[in-house]
Amino acid sequence: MNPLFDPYLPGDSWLHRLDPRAKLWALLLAGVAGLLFRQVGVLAGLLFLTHLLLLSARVPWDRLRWLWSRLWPLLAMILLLQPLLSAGSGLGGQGITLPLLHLGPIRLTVAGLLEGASYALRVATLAFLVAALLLTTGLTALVQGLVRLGLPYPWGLTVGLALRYLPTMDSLFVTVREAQEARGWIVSQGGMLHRARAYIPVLVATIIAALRLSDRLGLALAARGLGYPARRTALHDLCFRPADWLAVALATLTFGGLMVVRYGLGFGARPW
Amino acid sequence: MIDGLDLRVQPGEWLAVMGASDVGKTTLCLLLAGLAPHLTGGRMEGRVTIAGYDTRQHPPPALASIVGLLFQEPEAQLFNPTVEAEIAWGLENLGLPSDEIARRVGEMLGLFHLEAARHRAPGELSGGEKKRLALASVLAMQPALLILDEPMGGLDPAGREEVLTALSNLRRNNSTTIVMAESDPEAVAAFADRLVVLHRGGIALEGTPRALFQQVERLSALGVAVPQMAHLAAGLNRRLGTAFDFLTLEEARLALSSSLAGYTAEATGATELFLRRERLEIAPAGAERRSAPGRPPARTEASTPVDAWPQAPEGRLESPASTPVPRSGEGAEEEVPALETRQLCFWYREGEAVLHDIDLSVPCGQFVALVGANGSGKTTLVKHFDGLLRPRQGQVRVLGRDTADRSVGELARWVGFLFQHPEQQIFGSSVRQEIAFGPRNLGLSPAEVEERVEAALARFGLLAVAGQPPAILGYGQRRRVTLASLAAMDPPILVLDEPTVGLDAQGLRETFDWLAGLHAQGRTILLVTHDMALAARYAQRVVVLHQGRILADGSPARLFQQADLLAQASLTPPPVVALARALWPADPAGECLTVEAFCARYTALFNRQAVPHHLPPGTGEAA
Repeated sequence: MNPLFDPYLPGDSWLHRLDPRAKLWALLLAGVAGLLFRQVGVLAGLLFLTHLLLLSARVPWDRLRWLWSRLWPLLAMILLLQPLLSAGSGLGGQGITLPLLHLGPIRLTVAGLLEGASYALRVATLAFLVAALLLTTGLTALVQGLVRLGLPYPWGLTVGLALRYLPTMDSLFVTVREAQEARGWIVSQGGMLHRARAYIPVLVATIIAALRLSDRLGLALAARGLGYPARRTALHDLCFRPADWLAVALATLTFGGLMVVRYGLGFGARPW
Repeated sequence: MIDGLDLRVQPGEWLAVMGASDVGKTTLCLLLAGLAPHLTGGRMEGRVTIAGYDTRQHPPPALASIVGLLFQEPEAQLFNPTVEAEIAWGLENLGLPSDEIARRVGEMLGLFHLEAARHRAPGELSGGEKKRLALASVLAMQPALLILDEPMGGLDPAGREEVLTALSNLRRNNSTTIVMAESDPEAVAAFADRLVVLHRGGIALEGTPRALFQQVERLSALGVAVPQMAHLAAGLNRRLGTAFDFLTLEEARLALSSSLAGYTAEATGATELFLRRERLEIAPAGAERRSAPGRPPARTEASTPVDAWPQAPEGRLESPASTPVPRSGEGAEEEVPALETRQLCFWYREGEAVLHDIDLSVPCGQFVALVGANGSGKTTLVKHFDGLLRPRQGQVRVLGRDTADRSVGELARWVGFLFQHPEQQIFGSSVRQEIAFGPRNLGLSPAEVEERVEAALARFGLLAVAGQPPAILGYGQRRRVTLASLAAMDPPILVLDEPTVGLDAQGLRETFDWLAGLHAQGRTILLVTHDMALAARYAQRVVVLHQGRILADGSPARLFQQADLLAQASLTPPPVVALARALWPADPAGECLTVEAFCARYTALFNRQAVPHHLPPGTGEAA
């Protein structure tokens, strides 16, 4: 199974055992902190701590490497483009906004490079924080947590179904393309527009098959009682234990401390 | 679709519904489940009541605790991350307390033998396990009425056995009222109290399966398959004027062995063994028949008849390792094979090989059946012949050309490939456009494209729907559209991946008449199938794939002698072959692959019953 479609790694670590609501709360606070701080050192520290968190939950190195392999093209693009688009002059800082390279409208500065690094670290930190939630929380528990936080059940179910059927849609597309190729369809000829148009039969067949599947799925959900006039229960109901309260308290206190540093001491507003 | 239907199902009754493709079996299931017309659209007149509840006045969710529906495709009804969560999901909707949910989940896991899979993802299960899980999920809700839409559909023999066992447990341990729409006549014969046959929106026939399955001709005209044993009974009754009414293998064995006591008395011990599918070595020296009476003309007109294939000593099936198939330059004829693989290895992920050192050569004009359990690598192997997959190691050749440097589009000129599911192939704005897609891609002139399209439309009875979008047609017609699309390309080699799924008896007959015709014209046919009766009837050669390796390769007559080999590959012989082996285990002339061959053989023995001696070896050929 592609980890992109089914990220959950079953386990029994302290992070696996935490209530999904506690994890969602901690993720929210860590995400906000990651957005409020721009200082490269703080963001790098946050990213390092996220890795420690994942390793403490016995997430294998392979999975972390897999995530990095998926992220690096995006991070490289940010690192490359951001310094060219922004010289960091709006952030103040004498000296480091002086151009290292000046080519027409493009000015490459140390501030711009640091700003690019800040953005890249922010994206990486957020990605690994979300991974910490998804790698250690089963889909059923996640949906249950969201519903207990006030999300209507059909919305939570929709999220779950979307994740469940992503690989199905992927393999459906491949099979449909193969079926067309087997009837002599050659996509690799012609220009970009020609190729894009050549994909129309594949898209049409995929959409038809997807609609049939969703139609059948809708019937199956109704036949199994979705919308039954009773309050929905659960086989394994969520239970907020002292460890969950402790995690919430720790996350909140840490967040409070970071806010004091950020706004009380004014540290971390700039990438350097 | 359904017109003026009156049907009453008694509490505790098991009702089977049969009929041709697109006759309205699924629509009837949706109506009885209260889902139609609420969620399907359409117009309903009349009334459907389930345990006193009128479906028009109760929306589908409100009926969920009263009626359960098992859909044909497990993909659409298994949407939870684990087996346990799947069974619990419906119970959670009903608002049951968690301890009651846990109790019922445990009970269902036990009943359907899914305990070991409790925490596995449904997507990882085999076809049979998926069906059992879907059935467990529905039955856990303890409905008063259980509706099963094609519970046997799309299963390999092992999966079919699993579901049959599950249904058998259900029959024994549960008094739920069941309505089962099913095309598999063996399942209907095994479980149903009553059978109704739909035709043109209404009930054409109604009665017990035993009574109705005697009407072979009538059912055949209605597009309904009958158990092979019922076919046999009808055939013998026609030839001998007898009144056999057996439906199952065991019934047939008892009836026929008592009828031919002198010839079969010594066989009964072995018969029991065979029927229980235990290991049985039946290897009479020189046991192979050189020809079987009653085979269809396509077999005898073939360019490479069965007799040309190497015969293994002592009845053992030749394996490719011990007795390689003839290759160009090695046999009597210098001929480039139509399809050939040399030491083909393939894996999707490193270290998890799906195919191991496959050496296969299919001469031009041969009809080959490729059989094996789900996951044995059949589809992976045949996808190499049209270039959809490329060998990781080894070589694949089509008409002598290495596929490595040929595009899929190029190979499509020589290899026509039929995919299993029609919905994955259809996209055209009209049936005519759909069929023209392939010939146009081949670069044919507009006149030739039109000529081929018209011929295909006529051949598959699609002229009336030629202007309609194929996506709105029923399953049977969509399958015909895909067959017509393949026919219009007119390739010299045809590879068909499970073409029979979803076809009714008439569709099956028409499809194989067409294939037999093509074969008689010299086309090469590679058929991937789970249907051993079809393999026995049409194929000159059967290749058994097991865990990515060729386990056996030879004539159907040889293969079906090997009970242990079949069991190893999770396959079962056609009932008529099992019966022949059971009745005449030591008789070299007893191998019968088809009902016609069996009838001829039995008739010969029956007519000579006056001779009070044991049948001498090598005699008794059909009259």
